[in-house]
Amino acid sequence: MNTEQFMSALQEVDVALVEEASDGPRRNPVRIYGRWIAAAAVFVLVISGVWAATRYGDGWMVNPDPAVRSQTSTAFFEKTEKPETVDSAQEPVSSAPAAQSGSVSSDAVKPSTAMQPSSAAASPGENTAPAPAAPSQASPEPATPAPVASDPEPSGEEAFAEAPLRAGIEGFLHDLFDDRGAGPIFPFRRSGSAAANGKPDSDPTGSPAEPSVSPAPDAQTPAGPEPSASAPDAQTLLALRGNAAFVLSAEPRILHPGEEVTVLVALDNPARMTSLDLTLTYDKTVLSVLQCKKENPPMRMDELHPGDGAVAYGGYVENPYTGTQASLFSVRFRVGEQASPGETTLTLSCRNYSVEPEGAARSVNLKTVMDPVVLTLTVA
Amino acid sequence: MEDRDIVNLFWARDEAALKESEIKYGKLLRKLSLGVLRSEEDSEEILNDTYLAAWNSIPDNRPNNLGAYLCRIARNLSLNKRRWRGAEKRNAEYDVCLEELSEFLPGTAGVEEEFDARETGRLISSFLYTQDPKHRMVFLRRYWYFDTPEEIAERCGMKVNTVKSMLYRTKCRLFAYLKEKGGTV
Repeated sequence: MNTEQFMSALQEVDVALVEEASDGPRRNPVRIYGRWIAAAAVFVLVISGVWAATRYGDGWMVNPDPAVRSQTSTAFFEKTEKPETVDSAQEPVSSAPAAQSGSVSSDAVKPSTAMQPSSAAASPGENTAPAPAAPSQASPEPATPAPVASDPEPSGEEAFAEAPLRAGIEGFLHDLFDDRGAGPIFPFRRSGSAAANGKPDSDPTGSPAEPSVSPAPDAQTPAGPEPSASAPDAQTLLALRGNAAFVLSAEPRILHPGEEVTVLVALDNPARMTSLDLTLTYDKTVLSVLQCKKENPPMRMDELHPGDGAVAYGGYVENPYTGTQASLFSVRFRVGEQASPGETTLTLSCRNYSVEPEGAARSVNLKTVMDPVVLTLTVA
Repeated sequence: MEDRDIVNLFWARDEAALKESEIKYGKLLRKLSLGVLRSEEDSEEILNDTYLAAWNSIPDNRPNNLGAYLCRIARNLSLNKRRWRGAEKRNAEYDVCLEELSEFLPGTAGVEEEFDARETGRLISSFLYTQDPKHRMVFLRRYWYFDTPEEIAERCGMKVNTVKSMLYRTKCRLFAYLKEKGGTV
């Protein structure tokens, strides 16, 4: 075969393939430029955070303690309005909480002017902060020492305190980029973490978070991004599948040559389906396809391709589908005039069926446990 | 206008079908034939022949995807015209495609050998069905529609180098598949 002959052979490829390539994804400006916009937004966010932490010192953006946040807010306004009004008599007050906390050495405390009004604001008499800050400031012991952010190695509690912001950014970026939810986009996503849904691992007090859903009692974590994690076993997959099943229905079941029948393909209990690929095979010597129609499936993008003796359907949703039932597509067949009496079967087989368990960071493919559905029609 | 409506116009023998086809698919068909022939004049001629062929053939057919149907006609006519025209006016995108393929297909045009285009086309189809949709789309956009790698990259939101490497890997797999299946590679 030479190249010209190859090109001639390409002319003979299945028309469904040509149609698919003709309708394939077109340039989507949002998809292309969205990444740059998101990257710019993240950059601005990070720079702002770093700037704020540097400028106002105590990590107010992420610190879970409302008292500290309100102090910092006070410091922000005070600093903005009168940046140089620092009373040297307040210095012992500002260093005292640090000494009490025991978590920060006095060497680590920055001699920042911003910190000083922050501590000073904790004093009820001098406080000009808004009302919500008052209750915490009335406490004889400041709840958290102001110079937390200047600690070069944050303690475990402080690390937890970063979780809401970090998880929020992760969730935002995940939603923006990973529209199929099908893979570990970010290497820093934690295994089995609720952060996959933009939730923190822990509550603001630092207590361990409860997993939002445990897919199965002995399930290996399907969301585990570590390459070393073994694949879920059949039992786990069956547990994830739950009652999910494909439904194949037709009316009437007894047909005569020349008659038409419509076969409907639906999905029952989708079990947080994220994508699927199905093939409906039929005996082309008995049936011929008149029409293939999508039945308003809940897909973000889906394709339906009638072929020779088979109809292929595939699609995906942006977020796991949580409905109870979904009609996918219907095919109208005609029984051939020359069809001999007897039974003919339609088989709906699954080439891919992915679900994303709640709280997981990636989809799990259940194709090995999704049973094919067979529908028998009788030609009278 | 939707494909279905245009096809209905063809069936009704309404000449507005040609106008609507030109509006919707004229640019695509022109680009496709230019990719093979590299001549504006020939491209216009192919376009007219395509519409004529569609006008004559559609009452017997009801294509689901009119764009693909017209492209198929235009591609066939363009390849025939190219063969008829011989070696003139080469250096179209089609020739670049041929050059890319020559690495895998060392046979020459003059060599007579038994070749069944329909059977090879069937093998190519069955191979493409085994591939990832993105890979097969990139492959067909390149060698069926003669899009440049840059156009494919822009269309799919990928880098040009990604498209090129994707094409190369798909070709490797395709020709290995054809050899395995006994194709005349």
